[in-house]
Amino acid sequence: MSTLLPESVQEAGILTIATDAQLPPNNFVGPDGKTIIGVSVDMGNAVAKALGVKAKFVNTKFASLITGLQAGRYDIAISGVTDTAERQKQVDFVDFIESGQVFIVPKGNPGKVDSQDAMCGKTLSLVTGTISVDLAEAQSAKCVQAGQGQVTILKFPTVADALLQLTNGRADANIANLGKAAYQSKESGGKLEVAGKPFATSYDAVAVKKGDKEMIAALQYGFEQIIKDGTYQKILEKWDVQDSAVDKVVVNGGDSLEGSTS
Amino acid sequence: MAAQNEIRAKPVPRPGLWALTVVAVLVAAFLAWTFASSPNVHWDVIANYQFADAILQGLLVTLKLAVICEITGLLLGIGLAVMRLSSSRVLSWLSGIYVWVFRSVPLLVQLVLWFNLGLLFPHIGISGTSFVVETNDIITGFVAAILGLTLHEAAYNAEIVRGGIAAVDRGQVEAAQALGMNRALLLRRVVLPQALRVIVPPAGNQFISLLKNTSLVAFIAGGDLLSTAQNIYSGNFEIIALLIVASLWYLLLVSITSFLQGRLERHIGRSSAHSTKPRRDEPAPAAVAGA
Repeated sequence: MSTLLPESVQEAGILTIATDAQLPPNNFVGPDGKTIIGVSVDMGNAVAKALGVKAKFVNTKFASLITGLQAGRYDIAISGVTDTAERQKQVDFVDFIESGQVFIVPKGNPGKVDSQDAMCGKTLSLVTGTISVDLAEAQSAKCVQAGQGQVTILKFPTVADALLQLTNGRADANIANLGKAAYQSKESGGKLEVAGKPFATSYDAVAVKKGDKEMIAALQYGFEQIIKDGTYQKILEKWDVQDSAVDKVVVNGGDSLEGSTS
Repeated sequence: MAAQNEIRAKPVPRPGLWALTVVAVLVAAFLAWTFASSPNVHWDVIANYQFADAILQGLLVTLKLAVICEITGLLLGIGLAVMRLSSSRVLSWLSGIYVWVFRSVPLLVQLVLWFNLGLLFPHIGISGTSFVVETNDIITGFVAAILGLTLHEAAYNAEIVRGGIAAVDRGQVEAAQALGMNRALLLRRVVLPQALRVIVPPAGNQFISLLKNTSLVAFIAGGDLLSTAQNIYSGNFEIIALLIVASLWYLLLVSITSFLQGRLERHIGRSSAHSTKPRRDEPAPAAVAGA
């Protein structure tokens, strides 16, 4: 058993992990209607095992996810959260997924959204607070500058609500990272498809209470172990997101990637 | 009554009450201070966002939805209540079904159904004519929000109005009927003015809950006050600060509502002052019954 984890976690033998289970394939409720499954869950379990403790997942909404972390209610949060410089002011991130963004569009791509410039004058249906909103807003400003129509952005609380508007014909596209987009289009039964080449690389990360150095070191060690023994790669393959692998987990790396965002 | 013979009475000393007051004030002050001085409440962030454009736009959406749906919901609610109490069995039954359905189906479900009406009916109009339009063009997010909130409010308001009307003494109705008033006149002159006093307090409550229910339009990309705050905090993780920003606005809105409600209650109360509690400087109601 590793002695890297904070003492309270070691004593309890349980690593409490918060997640907002509505983001397939990262963290979502399985077919039985209660068990939380996904990349985040498998990763959390594997890292906990490498550290000699058991992972316990708690399903909670986004607002309680971060406040619960700050208040010490949860040890860490794994919830498909993107590491951004702005968010680093509130929490620390251990980055374990690296992926570019693509478009999810209705079958046949009737709105012809397959690149960032093609967003001009179109309607995007996005999930509140994701970096896709920042990307679409930035592109909209560019469109207006170029004398083209602005990007109309509809914001929804969950992925399901946002994607429904593609089927409904109200929106032309959604933006998601490659892994999530591939999963969603596969699950839609042919109603949705992936469009465009990946752009704006970003990290999905474990969120840790700001300044919790012990926890960060433990998580880094845990991830190194599962990358070394191949568990990490196996989990990504299981969920068909092997393109999102990182070579090495970094801490608060979202900042460094921002420059590569184009 | 007591005005004629002034008695200089000394109030009974109540040290217990004094002690309790002091304790209550101290506890309240302590709680307020703890909250205000907590390092986890980022007052600088709150100050930054309190009057931010996005928040003010959200506030405007919340206000628009609340005011429009209060008016439409109240009008429809009054209609439903009158139907419910009508002598026509069919009308009464239809109104009952309406209230049953719209109080049962959660507001969130209703909003999502209206917003996605295009999935069930892609076009609205008369087929074969040029009078056919895309459902999504008509049912915008705002229209879906107005529809859902109005229908929901109407069901609750119908019950509030029905309760108010039922609270009017039967004898009043019988007396008016004996005077030969028809139903419409009886409602307008006798029943509604009295019912109003019973209706206003719960209707005010209902309006306040409507004000906050508007936050459910987040699920149909509505962009109200609370969901705007949520949009911002999901980007920067300043969750508590943004929730306080929204709450401060709701506090202001509810304060204004409560003030107006109090004024309205006093106004209605004045017109019927003689029939309820007599004022001290006025003769007892019996004496002015003939006036």
